[in-house]
Amino acid sequence: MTALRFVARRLLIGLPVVIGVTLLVFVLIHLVPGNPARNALGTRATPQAVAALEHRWGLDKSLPEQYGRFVGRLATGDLGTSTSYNEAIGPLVARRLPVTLWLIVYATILACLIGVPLALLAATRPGGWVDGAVRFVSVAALGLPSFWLGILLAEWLGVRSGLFPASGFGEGFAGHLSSMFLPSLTVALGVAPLLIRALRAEMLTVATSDYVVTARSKGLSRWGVMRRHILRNALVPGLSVLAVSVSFFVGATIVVEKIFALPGLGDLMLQGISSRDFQVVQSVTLVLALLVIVVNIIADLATGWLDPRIEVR
Amino acid sequence: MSAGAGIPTAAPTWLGRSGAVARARRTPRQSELVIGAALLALILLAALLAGVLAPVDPARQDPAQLLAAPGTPGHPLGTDHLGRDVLSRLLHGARTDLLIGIGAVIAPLVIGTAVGALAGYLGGWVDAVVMRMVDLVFAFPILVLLIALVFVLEPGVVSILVAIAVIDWVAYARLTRAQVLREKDLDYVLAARVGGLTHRRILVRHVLPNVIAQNVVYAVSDVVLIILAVTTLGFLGLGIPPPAADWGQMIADAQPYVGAQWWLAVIPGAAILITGIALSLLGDGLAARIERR
Repeated sequence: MTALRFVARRLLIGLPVVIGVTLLVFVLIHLVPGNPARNALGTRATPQAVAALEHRWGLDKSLPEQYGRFVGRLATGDLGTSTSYNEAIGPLVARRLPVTLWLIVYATILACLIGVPLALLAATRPGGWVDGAVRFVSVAALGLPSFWLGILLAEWLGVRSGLFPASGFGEGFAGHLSSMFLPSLTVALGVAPLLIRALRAEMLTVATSDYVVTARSKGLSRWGVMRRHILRNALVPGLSVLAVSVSFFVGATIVVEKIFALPGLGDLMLQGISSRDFQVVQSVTLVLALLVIVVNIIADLATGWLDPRIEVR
Repeated sequence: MSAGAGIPTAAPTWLGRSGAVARARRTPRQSELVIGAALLALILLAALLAGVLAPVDPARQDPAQLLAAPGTPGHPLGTDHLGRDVLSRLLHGARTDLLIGIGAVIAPLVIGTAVGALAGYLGGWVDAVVMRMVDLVFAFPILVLLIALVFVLEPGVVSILVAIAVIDWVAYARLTRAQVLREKDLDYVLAARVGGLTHRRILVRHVLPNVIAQNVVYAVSDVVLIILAVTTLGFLGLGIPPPAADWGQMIADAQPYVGAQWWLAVIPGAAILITGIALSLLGDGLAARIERR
């Protein structure tokens, strides 16, 4: 299969999911009890004002018609208007997106820096004490609440020791790098256990394969085999674990942005919730879901590029 | 998730001492099961007896004793910023969070198993529709969807249970479908069909008993994720409304005092962590048992 066909097929597979996501997000707003226009205007609004807003939002149309309008607006990049910020949601989201992207990319890098060496260490001597310790910590960390970890890291590595800023996005690249360290570490520590478990299992599977046994019997050193054969082959499943974790990364950003006072999309969503701005909550949900889909597509393409044996089903 | 994390069957003897892998495979899983079950039993007991064990009403405020340190007479774990007893809140929080964690897993388990079994057994358009729905929910960042759902449904216990059911059934549907697909071509199912049994009887009486164990094991680990989600909602202010005590809410309340009264945040967090460890160990131990069978 040529590379172009691979890309095209992957994009085609993503299309129904994107449509499904827009449908689900559209339905979401209709789950709100009561009339959205009245909710937005408050209980003291006149019936005329409510009717006018209903008409402006297209709420007097049929549901399929409303969905059509919703998708039509999305296609032009129009996410609607925020009632609490009194401005278009599109630019609002665009301003905050870089913060969240920074957090996700930084956290991914940190998760790899933590996860890969530990998995390697554990897999080199399965059943050894390092393996036992790494396994126990990674099981324990599965139940680690990110928000709790974030609060403690902010206090102990931020406020108390003064090593890193405990809040804000920082100024310039170096500023972001230092300000975003603790938030990213918080997210990374949430994903690292999954990464370690998957990489370790994969490395052990590869370790039992014929070609590794052959390489070993030819006299290659243990470390040489580990580096040249095992690590390389464990890379692809590691990538897919990271791709699956993107859903977690994105969820964790909401919590972490609150703890570290980061002006990202998660913070925008929480602002929307506290001011009962349904349009903002709906838009952020949609943008974050699309973000996950895009990252997954990129990860799939990268996997296909790294391992030419893989084809899109 | 835990199925792929085990040590592979063929031991990579070249990696180390030959017996080490076999030992690693055998012993820890058994002790995991016992330690996990014992720990969970203790926590459950504490949660169930919260009403008896708690020194005072978890919602009672004592203005004379604000932010008291652990060890204060009458308050073994101290008091919070409103003068509420931390130990009492911790125990009642265990009741709230475990009850919701365990309660919330039932609907997804039942719905997901039923839908997944039907999809796998019937195939065709039923399967196609179900799997597209599964793909859709899996595509979503789960916490984001959960927050959005709980928000639009108005925060409360019922909304949380409904939102979790809406999201979490897909995990069980996918798990069950894969197993049913594998089972349905096995000899015993074919024999039952040749014997003239109805599809319904075959599915319910023959296939489901063989797949349910795996789902229950997954549910044990799933309770960890649900407790994390529920406490996270509590932290974000979308959890169970007061006066009910909840560990997430306790941590949220403690955040401003984490500098001087760090234990206020550490204690409920440690409770979540230990509960998670107990459930994960139990889940892993049970999974290893099933694999061996």
